[in-house]
Amino acid sequence: MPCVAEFPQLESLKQREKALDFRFFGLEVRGLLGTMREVVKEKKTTFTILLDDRRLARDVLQIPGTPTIFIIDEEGRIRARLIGAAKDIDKIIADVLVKI
Amino acid sequence: MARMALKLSAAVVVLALLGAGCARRGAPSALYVLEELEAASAVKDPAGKVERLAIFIGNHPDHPYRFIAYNRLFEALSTEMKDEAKAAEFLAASLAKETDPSSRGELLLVKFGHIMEKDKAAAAAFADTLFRTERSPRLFLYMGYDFMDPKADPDLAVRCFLKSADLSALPYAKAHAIAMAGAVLVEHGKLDEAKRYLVLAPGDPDADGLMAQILWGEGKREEALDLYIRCAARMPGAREYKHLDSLYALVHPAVKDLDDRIMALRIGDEGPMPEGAFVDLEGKEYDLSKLGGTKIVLYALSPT
Repeated sequence: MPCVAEFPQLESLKQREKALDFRFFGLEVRGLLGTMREVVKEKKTTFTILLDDRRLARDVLQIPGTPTIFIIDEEGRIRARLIGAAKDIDKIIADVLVKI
Repeated sequence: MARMALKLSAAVVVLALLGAGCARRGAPSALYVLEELEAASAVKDPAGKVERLAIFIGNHPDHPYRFIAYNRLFEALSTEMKDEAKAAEFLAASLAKETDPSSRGELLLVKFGHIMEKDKAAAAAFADTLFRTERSPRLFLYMGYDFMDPKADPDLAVRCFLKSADLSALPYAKAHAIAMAGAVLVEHGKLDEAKRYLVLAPGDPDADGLMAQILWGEGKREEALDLYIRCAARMPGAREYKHLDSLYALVHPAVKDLDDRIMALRIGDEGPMPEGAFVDLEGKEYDLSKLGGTKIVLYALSPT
């Protein structure tokens, strides 16, 4: 479960929303609402989880798999697309946020 | 007279409430539909589950997640009730009704997966029949993944990936399918053939990583490093598992600019975030293309 394994780093990133001036969203893309709720409860997740009931992630955003991360600037433009799990993903995302 | 007016008012109130109820029934909220699917899937009695999932499909014949209901209904019939004949009948009937290529693809994937579990040769024969009739890129992509199994037919895996690429109108999805075809060819030592495909998917991190591996093997280290860096820019974890820092130090022992080179390629401009609403776990809708004025990080995930 590479995505869930990254939840502690994602929570840490979520705590920096104000400092880095951004908003963080998770997006469940497999239609597993029940499982997602269990994970949120177990991991005490505080970030907003969105559900992709229109399959936009697959059909419009073209994600090849999970996790896939999109970083969007203030003008609403996608400035980075990061694929796959990585150590220090919170730091990697924060570095991009600072530069865009 | 006053009593009649009161009765009329009451009737108006009742009609208004009924109208509101109808409106709710006519357009259930996005979250309500997903809850309905979960409730149907959670029924313990397999026959009850099958009935509830069939009702869900009947109530929402065009919902994008009807494929999940198809999948769960098939599993309930096949695995829980062990009624293979009914499961096959259900799939055949559903396929006969579905005209949308993507939903047909999901149904056929269920059937394919079921055959593949029992008989790889039969699954290969079944896949072969789909090339002529089906138009779902995802169907061929996922069959390709299954044929990457060392015991399966690598040529069929390549054919599936190339068919997926051919059918896809979406650039990222197309490049990914081509990269996967290249991955199979690399795995089987067909490096020249792999290169012919990988050059068609520049910027796909898998394609870049594979091409880098080939070029490194050919001694073209600078070219290989450029591609490894582009791969790690898009796929951050690759920096570690491709041992990029060590390779870079080997070629440029005195240069400390790897972080900067990766970051320069990591940030670009894909264009505006597409319009479209998502719903959160409480039912609130968000259209991220309309949140303007703030940076956003969107982490697409699977909970399993």
